Amino acid sequence: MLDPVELQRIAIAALSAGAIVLFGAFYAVCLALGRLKTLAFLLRISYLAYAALVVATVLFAWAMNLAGWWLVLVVVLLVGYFVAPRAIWRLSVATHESSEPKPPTGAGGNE
Amino acid sequence: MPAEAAMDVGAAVAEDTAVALNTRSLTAGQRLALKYFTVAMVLFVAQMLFGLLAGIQFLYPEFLYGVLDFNVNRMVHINAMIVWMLYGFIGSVYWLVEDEAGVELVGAKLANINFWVLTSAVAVVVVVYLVVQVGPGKQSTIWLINEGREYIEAPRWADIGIVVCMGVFFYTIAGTFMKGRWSGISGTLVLDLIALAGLYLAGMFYTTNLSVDQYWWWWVVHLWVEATWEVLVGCIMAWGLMKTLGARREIVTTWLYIEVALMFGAGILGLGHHYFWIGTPEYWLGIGGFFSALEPIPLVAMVVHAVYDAGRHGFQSSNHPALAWLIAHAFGNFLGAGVWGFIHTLPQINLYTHGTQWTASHGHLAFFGAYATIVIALIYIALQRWRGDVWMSADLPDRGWKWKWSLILLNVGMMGMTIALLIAGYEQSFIERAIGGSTWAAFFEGQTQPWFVQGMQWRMIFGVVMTAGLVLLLWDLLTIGRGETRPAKEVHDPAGPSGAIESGALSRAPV
Repeated sequence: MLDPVELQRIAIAALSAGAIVLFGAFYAVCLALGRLKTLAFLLRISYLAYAALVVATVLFAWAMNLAGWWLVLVVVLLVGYFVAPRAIWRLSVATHESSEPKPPTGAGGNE
Repeated sequence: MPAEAAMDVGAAVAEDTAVALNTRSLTAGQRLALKYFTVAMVLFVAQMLFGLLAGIQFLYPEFLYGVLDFNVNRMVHINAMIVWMLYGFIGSVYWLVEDEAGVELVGAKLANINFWVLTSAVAVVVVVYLVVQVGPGKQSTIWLINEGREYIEAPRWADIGIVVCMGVFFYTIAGTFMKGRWSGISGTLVLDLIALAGLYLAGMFYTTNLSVDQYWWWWVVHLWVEATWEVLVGCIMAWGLMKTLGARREIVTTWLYIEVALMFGAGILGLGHHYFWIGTPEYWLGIGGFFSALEPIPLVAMVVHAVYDAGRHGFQSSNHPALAWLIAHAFGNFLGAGVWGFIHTLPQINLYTHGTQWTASHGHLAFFGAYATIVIALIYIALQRWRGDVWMSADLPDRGWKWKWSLILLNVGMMGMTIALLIAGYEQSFIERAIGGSTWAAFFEGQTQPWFVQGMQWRMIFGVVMTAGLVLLLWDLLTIGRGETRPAKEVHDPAGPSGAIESGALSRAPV
């Protein structure tokens, strides 16, 4: 059953929704940069961004009156935003490694 | 002026023109693409002008009343946008097809005739829109004047003509790939063109039940914009990245497949967010809300790939304006489709926002960010070749101020307009929908509130900023690279050999 957002929560609902996507992107950027440059502080910031995303999602669920099976959406969002950037990272590494030319091997290869 | 001096000037102009435009070096498909790009830009101007007029009418409702009514203005504004983007896509496909297939365009003459037929039809349809603004709605008006379906108002005769023209377009593109070589990009592109033309058929028949009618109509509107157009843009982007950055074919093709899978995964059933309030069964609330909410996740995930590639390869660009517009495309798509879409996609809030200026805010940024930007990028790539593969990287003679400022003004104008419309839409959702209960009186009450009126004023101001950006863009497109003698910067993926088919591989003899 659908329970529309309450009048005084329209702004919170919209802002928290925007925050979910923006924190999701910030988490993804920090994660990728942190791994790329092997910078631990960026990885820590990425987890902070994800924590902010969790807060925004909870706020979103409250403002939108998500209940019953709609809570499945909250779980899928939290898992999706956490897992997808990591999966894409692995995919990036794999696709680039498999398509990059291998260093010459055999006699004289390193001469 | 003495005759000798006049001759010198004439010779200088001729020499300058020879440097400026190198049409003979283009293939038949590329020359055809330039025609499509030219009409696309003319329609972009039309879109902007009719948009400005419609914006003024929001502030002064009596402005041009009875001469050019708001509903007609709005219709031409939106139709011009759809058609210029389609022209941009068709031009982009014609630009890349021979390069990608490695052979000359199949049916070049037919394709040229097709262009003139399509363009004439578009012109006639617009003239009829403007000349016959009011009148009785009969069966004949559906066939001759206006079919009445928002966004795809073209009369039935034009509908049939569009399908025929798309059929010819498909024949020339698929035929060229069949004669030449196939690739991941071309295979995806051809399959997508079948879907693009096929989906249009869903918007061509009437039923007496409005809910059923709207159900099929959304197939065209949503599945074009959030499925087939996205895939088409993905193909163009993949080819564009190889050309401007020297990205490797294996990588862009792999990511094209992944993008298509992710997009279809959430995008097709995301169609449900249009079915919330048209009388379809209640389960669409759940399906539409759930899958629409997932749509931004692929966009966010792709950020990782962009960071990875940029950091690992340190690409250099052969065409700075094109690259800048490709980057604008990435950000615009993320913000317009991702953020602005998600903030009102669940039925719990969409109940209040659907059809308000909030929707217009999302529509403006999403269309501009996802589609206008990439067509402009492709036009810059085309211009570079047209000028004779000249330098378009850093250190342009005028420091590239025109392309930089046009990029800034167009994007700032669009963002400003988007935020202004969002404020107006928020107020409208609040007063008209949530408090007023969507009554006719509440509709007018909402539009007289200060926030709505001020939002519309700011929208107008930023519309003028965008118009200034468009003027600069057109000026730059006409002049960039003129007189430039340095060859284009060679780019390649530093991590390995470029998978791109070399630009000069194809015979450039006029066809």
